[in-house]
Amino acid sequence: MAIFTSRDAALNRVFLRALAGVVPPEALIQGDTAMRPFETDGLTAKRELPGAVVLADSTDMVQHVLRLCKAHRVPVVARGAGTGLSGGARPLREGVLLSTSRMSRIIDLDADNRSARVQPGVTNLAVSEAARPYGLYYAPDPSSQLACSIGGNLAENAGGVHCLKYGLTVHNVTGLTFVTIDGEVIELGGARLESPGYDLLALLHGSEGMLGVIVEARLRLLPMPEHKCVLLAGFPAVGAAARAVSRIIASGVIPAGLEMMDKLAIHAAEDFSGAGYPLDAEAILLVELDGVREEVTEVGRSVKQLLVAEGATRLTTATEADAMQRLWQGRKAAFPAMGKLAPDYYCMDGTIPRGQLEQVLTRIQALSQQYGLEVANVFHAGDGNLHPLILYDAAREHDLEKAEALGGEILEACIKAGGTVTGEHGVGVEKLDQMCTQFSESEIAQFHALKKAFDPLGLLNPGKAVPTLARCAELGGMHVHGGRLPHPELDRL
Amino acid sequence: MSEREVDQDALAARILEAAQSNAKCVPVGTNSKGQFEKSDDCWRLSTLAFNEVLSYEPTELVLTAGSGARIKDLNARLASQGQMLGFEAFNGEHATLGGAVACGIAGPARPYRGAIRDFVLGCQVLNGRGERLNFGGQVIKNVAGYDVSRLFAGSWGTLGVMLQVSVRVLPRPEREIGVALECGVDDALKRMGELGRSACPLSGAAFVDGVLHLRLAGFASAMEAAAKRIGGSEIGVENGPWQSLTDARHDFFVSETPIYRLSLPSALPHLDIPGRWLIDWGGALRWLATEVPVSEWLPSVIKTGGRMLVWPPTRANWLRSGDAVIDGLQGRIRKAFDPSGVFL
Repeated sequence: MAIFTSRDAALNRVFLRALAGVVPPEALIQGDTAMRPFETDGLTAKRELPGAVVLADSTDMVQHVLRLCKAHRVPVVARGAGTGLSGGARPLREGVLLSTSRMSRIIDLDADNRSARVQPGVTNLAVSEAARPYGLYYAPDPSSQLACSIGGNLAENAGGVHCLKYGLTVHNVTGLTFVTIDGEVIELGGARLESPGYDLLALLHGSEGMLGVIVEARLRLLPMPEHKCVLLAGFPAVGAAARAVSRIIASGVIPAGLEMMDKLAIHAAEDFSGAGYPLDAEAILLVELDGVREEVTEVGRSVKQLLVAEGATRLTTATEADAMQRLWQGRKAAFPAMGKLAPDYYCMDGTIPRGQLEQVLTRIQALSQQYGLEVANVFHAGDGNLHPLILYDAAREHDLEKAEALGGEILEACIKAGGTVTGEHGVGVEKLDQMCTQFSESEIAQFHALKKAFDPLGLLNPGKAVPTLARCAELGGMHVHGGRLPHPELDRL
Repeated sequence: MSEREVDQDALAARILEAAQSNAKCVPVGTNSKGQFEKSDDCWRLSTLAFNEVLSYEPTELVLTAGSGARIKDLNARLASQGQMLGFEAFNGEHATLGGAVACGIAGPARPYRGAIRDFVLGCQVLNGRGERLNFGGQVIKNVAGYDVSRLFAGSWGTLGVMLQVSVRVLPRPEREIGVALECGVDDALKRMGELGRSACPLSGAAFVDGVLHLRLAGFASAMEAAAKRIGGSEIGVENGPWQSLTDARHDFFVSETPIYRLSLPSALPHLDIPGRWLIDWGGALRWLATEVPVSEWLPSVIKTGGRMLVWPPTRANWLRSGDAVIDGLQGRIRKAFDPSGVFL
């Protein structure tokens, strides 16, 4: 069976005519100028114009488009709000870009069952806002929550600052509906907690649009905590802050959020937002505690003691909504604040065991000097999820290549430390090479075989998330013995 | 080569041999769920040699152990560091980590702490080609590659043999309190719903023999305050029904009457089907023992968004989705891991 490759023909007239037959004119975008906004997602360094854009407004339309694409062997890239940071929604010139952003209705908010049924184009924040009158909220909160959509959150298994206690997207979704490349609608899970069969619900999470197109989700809502408190601690050394993180966890406390920023990030954020961060600190920790009032008070006391014991020189406690928000504002502004430091930045996303924080941060510092590019660190320290921000200037020759090479080395350092190349942003087109380091040849072949069970022609988001074995072989990340590749039945791209 | 690798290679060779001789294989730990299904004519692939804790760093909240490690032993090891597994495993006195994850039958804390798969971070498996593969990892956040580890959780050994599993662990709560309130079934469901929507630190809510049992877990001061707010009489957690619910060996299950496990939206009012009822998971899991034929009541359960499983379960009825498209897809997924159909 032939698998689609990018060498195949671009969209032809016959297909486009058929597409116009199933998609009304107001939902179909063609022409380079009109399609320009869709040429990239949040990974802006990678751009390509699609063959056509469909703004689907119903499951029915998604079914029609997928059936047609299959019949014509045309690849499909699904897209939510386009805020992804790994290029997962980067279009293909010879394919259709299928956006679900117009499917943006909250279908049903069932407070009694603490459950919301939503369309994929609903933004992350809109769900929590709709749930607020019932004293409920949706826990996963990626920093792009104002703009990013639930469909994209599921496809990337998005995280956020509260994952340590409340889990990733996969832990907060009880059901979803997706359309297969055959145009079949499959409903998984529901408002109940247990369903027969394989856990396809978990499998679809983080599958980056490679297995199907998500058209509906059933989200678990949580009761808002009774009480919250945010602590800000400044440290004279990064190592001390990292040790404090481990001490807090070892003491039996799971903070709702546990974030760390290094000096460069602190200064940039403070300039931008005036959150009141200590400028003489080498690192700060933001610790959010929540729960019943007695617990938060008691835990807050013991966490403060730990922070001081590990050398915190500045300590601020906020329990009022305004004061807590001010402390968070600096963290949330950290990314836009980078714009003041350099024209461009490249955001990485490796995860490492917490115990390796100090060692990996030192390695990143050394790499930064070696490449001559500054790196600011803002990250989810509680779950070991690093977001090194590599500062560069795209207008300067070779700067982008340098930034990418530096980023690659940072990810390799994460793998070496026992971690992973992506904690929450996904592989997309960005980390294909590092996948070859993290996984063996047979593991990658197993991923391809699994994909084939859903999409035998390889039409859904081809070229993303899982590298071809040939690519890995070329990189030397895999060893092919005597030219004999395992799984000869799989096509090598 | 370590002893573990020798054992793993022997298991891989056995899988290839089975593929050649058209034999069926079934991964087995302590056979603690052997009462569900006979597998006498299958080749048993024992995981008991893989019983070590391979890595455990309390500050990481992550434990990696061989699939044959006993749940009981792991919890003892974790308790020494003030931690515990995040899930209560069926027949945890005997069950192994691999078996608990493969079957995914979780106890009363399920709605509050999560499903067993929610705690799985990574695993090493042998697939039907006898290849040793690693998926996921030992960190909490990880989206590299498809989430094969969670796919193996609840797959009942049909995709391959798990050799080792990495799980996220939790701090052991400082205090657990049991509260008992006598009431009718409608009141019990209402109360469970209200508490579930509040910020009450529940770790169990069940209605058993006319008594609403609540279990609270967290910091001592907070638990005492919460128990006072709820009212009722305080009983020790050990004296509550929790262990017998986890293992499905409460008196309710000693019955000649057919037993059904219903997974329902938790807020659903009590269903008017004659029989004996036992309610767990804050209303999301309801056990029914009834002589009334399934055909007379199942359609109404399905209509509410619920699902039914005959108890005790078999591998086949746990895995059959009841939807032709999904079953077809599941068959292809199975083939992707086990092309020659070695696993039962």
